[in-house]
Amino acid sequence: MSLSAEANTLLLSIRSRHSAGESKSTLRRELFGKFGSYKILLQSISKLTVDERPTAEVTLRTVRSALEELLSDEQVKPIATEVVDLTLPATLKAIGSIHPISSMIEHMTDIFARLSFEVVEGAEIVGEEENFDMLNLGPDHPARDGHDSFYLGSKQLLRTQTTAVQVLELRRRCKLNQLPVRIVVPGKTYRRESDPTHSPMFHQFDAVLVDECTTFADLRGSLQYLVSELFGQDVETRFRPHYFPFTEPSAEIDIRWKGSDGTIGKHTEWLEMGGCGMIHPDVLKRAGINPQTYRGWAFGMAIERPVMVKYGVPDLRSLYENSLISLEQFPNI
Amino acid sequence: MKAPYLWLTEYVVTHLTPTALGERLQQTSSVVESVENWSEKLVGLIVGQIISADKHSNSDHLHVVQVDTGHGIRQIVCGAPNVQVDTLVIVALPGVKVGATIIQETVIRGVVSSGMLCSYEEIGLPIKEDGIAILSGNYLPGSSAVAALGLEDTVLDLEITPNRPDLLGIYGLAREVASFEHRPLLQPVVAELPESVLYPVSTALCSRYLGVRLSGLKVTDSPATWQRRLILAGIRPINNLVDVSNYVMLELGQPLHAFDAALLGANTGVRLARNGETLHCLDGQIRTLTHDDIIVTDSRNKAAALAGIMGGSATAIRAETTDIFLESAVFSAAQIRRSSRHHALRSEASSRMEKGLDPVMAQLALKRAVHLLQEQCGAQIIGQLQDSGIPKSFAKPIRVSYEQIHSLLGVSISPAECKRILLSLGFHVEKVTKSSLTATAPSWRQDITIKEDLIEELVRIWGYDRVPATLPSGPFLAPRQNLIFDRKRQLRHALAAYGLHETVSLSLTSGSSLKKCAIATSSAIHVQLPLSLEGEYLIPEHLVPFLQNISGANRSVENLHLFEIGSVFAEPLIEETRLSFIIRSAGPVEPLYQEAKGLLLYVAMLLELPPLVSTVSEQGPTFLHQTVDLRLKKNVIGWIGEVKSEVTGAWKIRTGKSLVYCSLNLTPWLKIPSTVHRYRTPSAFSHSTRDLTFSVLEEVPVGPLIDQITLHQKLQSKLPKLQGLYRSQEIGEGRKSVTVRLFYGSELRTLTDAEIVADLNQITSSIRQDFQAIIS
Repeated sequence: MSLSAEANTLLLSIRSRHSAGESKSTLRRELFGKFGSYKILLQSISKLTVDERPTAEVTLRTVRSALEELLSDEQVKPIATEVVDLTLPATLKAIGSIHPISSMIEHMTDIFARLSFEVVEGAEIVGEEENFDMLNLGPDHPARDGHDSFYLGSKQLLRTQTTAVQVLELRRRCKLNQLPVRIVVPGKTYRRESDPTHSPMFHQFDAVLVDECTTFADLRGSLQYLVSELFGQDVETRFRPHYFPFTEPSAEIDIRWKGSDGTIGKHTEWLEMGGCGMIHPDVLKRAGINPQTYRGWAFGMAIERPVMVKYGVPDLRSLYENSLISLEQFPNI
Repeated sequence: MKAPYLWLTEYVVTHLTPTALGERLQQTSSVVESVENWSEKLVGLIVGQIISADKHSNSDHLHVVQVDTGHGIRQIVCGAPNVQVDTLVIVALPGVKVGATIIQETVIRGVVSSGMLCSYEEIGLPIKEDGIAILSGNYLPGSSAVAALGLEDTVLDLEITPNRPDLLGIYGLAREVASFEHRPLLQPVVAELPESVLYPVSTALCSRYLGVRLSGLKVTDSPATWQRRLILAGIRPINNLVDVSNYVMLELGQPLHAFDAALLGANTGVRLARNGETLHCLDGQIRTLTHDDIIVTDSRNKAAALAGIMGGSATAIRAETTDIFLESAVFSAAQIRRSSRHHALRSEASSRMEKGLDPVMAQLALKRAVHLLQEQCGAQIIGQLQDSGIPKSFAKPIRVSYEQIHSLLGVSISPAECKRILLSLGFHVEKVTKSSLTATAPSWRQDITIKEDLIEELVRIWGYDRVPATLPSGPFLAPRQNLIFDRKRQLRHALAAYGLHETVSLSLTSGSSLKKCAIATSSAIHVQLPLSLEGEYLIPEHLVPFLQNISGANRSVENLHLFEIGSVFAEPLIEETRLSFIIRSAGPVEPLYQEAKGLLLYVAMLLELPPLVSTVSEQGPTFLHQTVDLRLKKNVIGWIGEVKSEVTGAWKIRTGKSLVYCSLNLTPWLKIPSTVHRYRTPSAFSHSTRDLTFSVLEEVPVGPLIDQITLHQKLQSKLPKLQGLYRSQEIGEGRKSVTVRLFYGSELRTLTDAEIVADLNQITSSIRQDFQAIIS
């Protein structure tokens, strides 16, 4: 390759590297530094014949000026200074964010992982059987009214509760001889309702424990543990009777902040968190588990509720708008 | 269920205030939605007497009224047609709150008006009156309106769960109070019913049917007490013969129906309707019945009422009614529920009936209603009681041991306390031993069938809040990892740390949004009975909520990187977990494809997954152009592409930015076990790099070119890397300059210059030949 050709190749390569974003100073150093590639080219002129030299010199000059133009800093050359201003504000690389609902799911699964609970997710399209019938919610059961659902086919619907996973998962584990069971089920659920406190899609978190020996008191203790890990020690819980066809006895759990400082997001009035109870013997039977030997408890709650309480989000539906102004408030990484 | 406090105390003596009672009921029986004190609700409203009423000179319907308020005469402008001198009315003076507004002194068409004359509706009472409320009776002007209305009571609004129809009546609630307050439950005063004759009815349709004829009646307004209590409970008083049914229903939970006996005829019946049979209902609508509807028939065997839901107008109480046939029946709960849903008709009666009522209570309710009509309206019983008879009880004795109670609850309740609680709730406690007790549920508690039900009764009255908090014991379990869940989590954190924002979007979308995304609605899953057109379909792509977001909530954000991990849906009922992301940025689109590929490479590295191979797509999805297929082995599991301009145009997204969307089916990728790479000891010999710069035609794809270089480079220490891409006049129109950096090195020795040059020559000749590359 002739010296002129080499010089042109050098120019092209530097151009493409420059356009690819390599810094000017790096490139300058590579070209004009102690063993810089331009310098080496310049030195090789001496190896040429006298006749070849003028053409080569012209090419090299052109290339040099092109390189210098390319790599020159537009701005006035900075004046080197010894002074370092230590008070300049922080700079931050662009960071993204994790949606608060995902964070809450991770947080809650972590808390239950400490109690040896495994995570199970299920499909969002389910059969009537799993969602209703297996949970003692027969076709004419009045409690089905509270679960106004989105049907997709004659027997298929969007699950109205993550509890829909419960019987099939228990049955699977029972067959695999994997009793006792401790699982949590987070995920999306759907109901035909929409207002500031209800969205047609929301997220639920279920926890299920089946063992030879567990009690209503264990259920209460586990929930209390969850609540204090989520919100801190100054939150108290209470149990209230309620009705779910798939648990007996059934309860609802409420929380409130002790004291009455009235800080935003710190509810001093009782606030409903979710429903729970001892798994109904019929439900265990449907999973193939003998209710004489085993018993279990389960609880379910909306994940949006603790998100709203923790961060003071007033409108549930704003959680699905995903505006950057909201999302950036939850880096959570 | 709205329960007036004073009515409740007719059946149980309690020292608890309404609020305290609400708290206790909440802890034992039912959610209390609110405790509303009507004296506070209607505070400030007073009785006024109209002294004069003159036509407003500047209006055809307004009156200028002078009202005696007890503390002076006030002038009030009123638009009601029933303004009349001397009548007593309800006055809200300036400063008093009516509904959500605070009354202020105003000038109406030039006349000062200092206050408002209220209608019943305006102050929240379920009473129909054309115009303002006119009070009957003698009240002093200036006295409290709530006292004049007789509504000085507090109403507990309870949300009764569907298993407890017995609590849909004052009496049933009083039983709960009696139980936790350790007080006796007082009994309703009832009439004696005459001898009964058997009323034949299909037990499948109706577990109990009772009816009795009463005569000597006259339709009037109800006694004041009935009216007040109905109003407090949210039911509009109509007349005495209609109100008595509602009154007893509120009190005992059993719906009754009064037919005009003359219109109904002597022989009634209960049967399923014939398909197509019609009934003119009390609400004025004519309904076409089906074989799933239970009806009560008149003497001609024609439909007289939609059983347990609504009466018919042909047999309804009229002004001239003197004889009635009063029905108290328990129809099949399942049938009533289906029927009420089918006709989209829910009434106070049907909402009780569909939960399963007590056939014994049906008789008590009839006795109570007859007593009230005898006492208040001079009713006389005609003939015999028609009764289908008490059905066989299915309640079985349930045995529960104290040990079972303890092992289910984790706490003990004393045998004496167990017995007391069950007795106070009306259970028949049969056998009490040292270790167990046996009890049978009362007729009104059909929800009690197993020992767990019995234990719930015990613990709720004993006190849910006394249950201690313990942590589960039992054998230690080694939890198994949920690989997919954990990897989705890693992925989420990795992408967020890389600068992307995670979204969680509604899975429901509209047909028009799909069309704007150039997605055929026929391919998406249609939701039956959507709440609105906004939620008719399930999202088949995250692109739909992404574009909604970019054209909506984030329309003013210049550069946007969003991702979502979640299900998308397509016919035939397929659900797929996807990772999708969208990049919106200024400048050319080419680098955005590289950025998208880079993101996927980063994810693969981080999760130790095989990298996806990207190939140029023959035919991408309808909404993308210039699509790249993402392949896992041979299978296409996703793509990257630029969103078509007609799609961004349809969403009215500002042009001048590039928009690249990537979506892939996550599960097949994430379920692959991690590949652990073996460690390579860094070579002790020196390495060198060479930059290879050449130009090719624009049409020549750089990807395969680099693949070819990789293939031909014999002595590489690392894969070659695209170092620069450059277009300029000097290279010429339609060409691009490419610089590829090659890494040379060996683990065994230092390579010589000659070896490297030979290798480079190999490479250059191959790309010259295959890609018409011009090496500078």
